[in-house]
Amino acid sequence: MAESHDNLLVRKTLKGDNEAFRLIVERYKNALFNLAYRLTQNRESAEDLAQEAFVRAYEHLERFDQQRSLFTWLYTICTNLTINELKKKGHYADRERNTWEQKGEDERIASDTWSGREFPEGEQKVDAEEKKDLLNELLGKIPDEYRTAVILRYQEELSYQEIAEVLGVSLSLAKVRVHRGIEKLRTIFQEMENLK
Amino acid sequence: MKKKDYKNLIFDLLDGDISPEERLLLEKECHKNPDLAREKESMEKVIAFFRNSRKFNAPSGFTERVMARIEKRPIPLKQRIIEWIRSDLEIHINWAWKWATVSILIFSLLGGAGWQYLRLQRLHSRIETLERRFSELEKQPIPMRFVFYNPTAKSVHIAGTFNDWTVGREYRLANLGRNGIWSITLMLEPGVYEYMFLVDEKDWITDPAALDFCPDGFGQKNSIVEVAREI
Repeated sequence: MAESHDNLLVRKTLKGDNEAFRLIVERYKNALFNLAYRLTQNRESAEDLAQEAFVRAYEHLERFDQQRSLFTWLYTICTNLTINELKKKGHYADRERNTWEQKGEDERIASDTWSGREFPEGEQKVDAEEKKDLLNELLGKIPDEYRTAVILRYQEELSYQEIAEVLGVSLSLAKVRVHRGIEKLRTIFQEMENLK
Repeated sequence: MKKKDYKNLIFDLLDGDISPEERLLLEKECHKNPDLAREKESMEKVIAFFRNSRKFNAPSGFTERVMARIEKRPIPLKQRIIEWIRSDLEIHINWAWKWATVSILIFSLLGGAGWQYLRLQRLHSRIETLERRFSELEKQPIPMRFVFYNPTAKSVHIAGTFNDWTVGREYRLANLGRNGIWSITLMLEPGVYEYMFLVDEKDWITDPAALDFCPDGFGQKNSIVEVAREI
């Protein structure tokens, strides 16, 4: 039902009815923002990226295959934009080096949160509640391809097939990325537990 | 069962995709193997982080900011046309527009075909006129000069199929130079004719200068001339 309603909105938008596109934005804005936020861990970047994903979707809406799911397509755009943005800033390379065990507990406490360490000064508008978000902290320590996969699976609750579509990989590779991501998170989590 | 297989069972458990038998098998192994049990427990905790973590909502004014960015872009005409053609006629007026367009196309095609038919008719009529004129022109007599040499003749006539072998004054050759060269110019319609010269109104002589000959049925030969218009 939602699918066909999405397609109706897409067709109306293509006919020039921007109000239909407004409904699409309303329907998926939180999902895209949350995805971008979990990946970037920065509100401003997340909003910019989620906005850009909608604008790109609008501009290329005629390319959208209406046999597919709209939200998977929007996730694909948002995920690709976010990953490209993070690659440009070199965040992933830094995160790979800044593993929990390399920092040590004292440094971890002194540096407050992972989010505070990683992003440029202008992007450090993270509120107190978000700083306490342990999930963000854990996610910051695994490579982008695994992080994207586990977020899509366990936070956005996409099926493996949908994850494969969003990431543009095979079903088996999507599963491998989710499993490896979880395995890495588990290792980091266990190390954290041992340090306590 | 290998350790790797038990790990896969943990993933199946996390994905809710495990059979009761496999679950029992995993539980038994965890009971025997504390490391595997700890692994399973920490994995479940990680997944619980995801499931219990808050979802962040887009900030207020997000939709307006997106719409402000897209409303500046007009929909390209090509895109509108493509979508209009693809559309499945949700609105009644679309039928009217489509039928109107189809009708205009049909009338245009019929009109075009009718106009082409009239044009062909006119062309055909002009061709017929030209053919008639050409045929008339083909039948127009052409001046044909016959020359015969006989220094001793007192009179020379020409007769043939063009005048039913009649001998008359209008077919008498002239000997203008009195030098034995007799000549006459006749207006003949295009065609092939047999002819002979009649010397002194008694001797039928074949024109030696003729291009071709044929038997005359009296033991002599008729001369042949072809009268044709030069193109």
